[in-house]
Amino acid sequence: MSKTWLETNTFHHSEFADINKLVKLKEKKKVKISICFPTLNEEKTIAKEIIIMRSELILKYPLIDEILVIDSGSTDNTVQIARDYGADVYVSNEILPDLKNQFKGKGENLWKALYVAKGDIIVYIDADIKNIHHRFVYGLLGPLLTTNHIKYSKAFYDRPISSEGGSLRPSGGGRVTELVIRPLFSLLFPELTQIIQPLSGEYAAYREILDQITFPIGYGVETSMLMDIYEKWGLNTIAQVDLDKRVHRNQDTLALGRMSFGILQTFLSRMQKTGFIEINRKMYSKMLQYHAMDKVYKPKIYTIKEQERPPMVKISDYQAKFPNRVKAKS
Amino acid sequence: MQYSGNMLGKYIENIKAIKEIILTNIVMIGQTPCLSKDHLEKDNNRRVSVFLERLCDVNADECTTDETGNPYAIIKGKNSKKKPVMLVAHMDTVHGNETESDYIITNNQIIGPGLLDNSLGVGVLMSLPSVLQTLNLSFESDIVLVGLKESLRESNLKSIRDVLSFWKQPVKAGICVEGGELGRLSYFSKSMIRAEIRCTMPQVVGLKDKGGFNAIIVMNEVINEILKLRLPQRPRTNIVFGKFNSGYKYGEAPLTSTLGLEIQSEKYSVAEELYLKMEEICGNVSHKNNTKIRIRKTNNIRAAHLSYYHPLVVSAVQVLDALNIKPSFESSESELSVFLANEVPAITIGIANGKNYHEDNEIVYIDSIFKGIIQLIGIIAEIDRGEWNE
Repeated sequence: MSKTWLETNTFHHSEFADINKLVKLKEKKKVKISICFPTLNEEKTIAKEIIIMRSELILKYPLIDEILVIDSGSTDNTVQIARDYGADVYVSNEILPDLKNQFKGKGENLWKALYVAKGDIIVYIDADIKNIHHRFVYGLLGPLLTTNHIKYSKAFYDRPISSEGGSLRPSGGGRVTELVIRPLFSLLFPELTQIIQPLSGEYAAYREILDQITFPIGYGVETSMLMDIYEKWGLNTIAQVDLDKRVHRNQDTLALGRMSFGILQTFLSRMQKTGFIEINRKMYSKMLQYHAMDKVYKPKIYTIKEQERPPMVKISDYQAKFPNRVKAKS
Repeated sequence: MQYSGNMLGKYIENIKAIKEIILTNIVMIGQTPCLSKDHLEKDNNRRVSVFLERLCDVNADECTTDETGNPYAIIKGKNSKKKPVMLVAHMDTVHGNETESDYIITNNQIIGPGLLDNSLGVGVLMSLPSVLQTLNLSFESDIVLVGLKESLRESNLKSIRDVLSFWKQPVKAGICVEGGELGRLSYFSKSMIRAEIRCTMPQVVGLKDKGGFNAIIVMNEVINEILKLRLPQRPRTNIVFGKFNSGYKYGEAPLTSTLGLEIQSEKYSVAEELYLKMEEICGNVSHKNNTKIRIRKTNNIRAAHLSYYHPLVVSAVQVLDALNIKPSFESSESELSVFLANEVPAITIGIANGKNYHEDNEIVYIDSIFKGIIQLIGIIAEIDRGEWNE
């Protein structure tokens, strides 16, 4: 286990608060940066997220080149509000319409963002953050711009080691992280347990990394992204950044159960694909949850099938739009 | 600054081009927890930090705090011999909560607690350097932007008193910036005494009387007696019952009750006289019911005013007229009274239209903010241009 990764590749957003410096580094590296908000019915938070990013990272400091909203088909005013505040809004189904299948899910939106975004670096930010602050973006960009080896940076939200006076407090993984992901990583990929919040929804990466990995369309996208990047480029390509506090919608245990089901599908199929394990029977894609009604327990069946998108670089429309990416890969 | 229709339209369009900066300032200050006295002692002054960080970030001059911790920044003028114009906005809110608020922004509204009173006012102050830069405007006088930590409730306008007592230079004029309501123009303060009346039932071990000892009923007697007081028509005088707090359960008589009221009068001695009568009432009702009733002053302000024909008021009215904003003249028993008591000509204005004042879902209409900002800048420009009080 790499003993120093946690020390060398863990940052705090305040280390990158000099945004002017980041702008200069961006210019020096000659890269463009896109923010992508995947949305589904986020009318209460999306305006605030766009406004703050535009104010701080476009109008005041020219760090960001574009703000994208990739929507999964909101039925509220998300799309209109996002357009009114100047974001480039795309409905997911309308991107690459000639694909054989169209899916609905966060992973699908993140994957399709690669096709519409102009940036060399893409920053993915969840659209339901109530206490949104531009540190979420410049914090994640910091390691990518200030180093040459880090290509992917991931958020976490609690100070992991100690507070003032040296007292220890638990690190801030959520329930799914602590009950599902960390035990799995501990069993099979102990190095990855150093990532404090593997499921956090905020991360930034160079296009050259993102377009070479597969994207599960649903819950498994964060796990799979980490595993693939670790597998292909090693842990040293990854950084994690403490973004302090994040306030968002809380999910109930049953919803987290379904999330775990999707993540486990992704994890096991990864294991099988890489020859790590062999599963000699069919895996089901239906999850049963039980609800008590009077004195009867009623099952509710959820179909959760973690489909995967291939690396974007293999898509012909993408190759046509970004010919230099194909060239670079070959 | 020109007030022709074309120019005003252009100004508003230019300000709209940086609306994200203005909205971000409003959200960032408004979502940060308010200050409380306890917090101050524990060095919890997050709103002060946000105020200073945001102004330093746009290169305002001299971003710092005064001796008592009120943050301020200066937009330097071209003529150092001119007296400065001081803009103040109180940073505390009636919500007084310590938790972070969550503001919602829609196409044309901002929604959240404490917006109109007064994160909108503070946010606009914090945006002023960016706005002036966008409009390519500068002034002869320094413009001092002050965030006031403690104004409301028992703070009794402590911050503005501190600021003016520590500020060594003479000030040409003061503008108190409030979130709402656009068109508000206050240039006079009535005398005001705020009082809290607390009724406490005798504490007997095991006492649980379901009818006899009831602090609400006793306080009701106090209210009825106060209502019997004769109020003079001149000088205009009024008593407002503003707050009441009592009780635990539907079926249990409360042992305490607290009433908050405000005596307003054009003459301080009349307010004082009424307060003394209230002391008597409290004493009488207390003896009659064998309860403890205490009255205490929490705030007091003496009446002060500018003339309607003072150049500051005249120019403010002209600016509002030019912007097609109907002025609403009302008294303001707030920072304005302290400015006037210190012989600094001052007014209070509102920035935007809104509704649900002091509720958790206060609403500000975004489009009205831009006109409100133009109004503020127009008034500053008129003060800067005027030769009075120099």
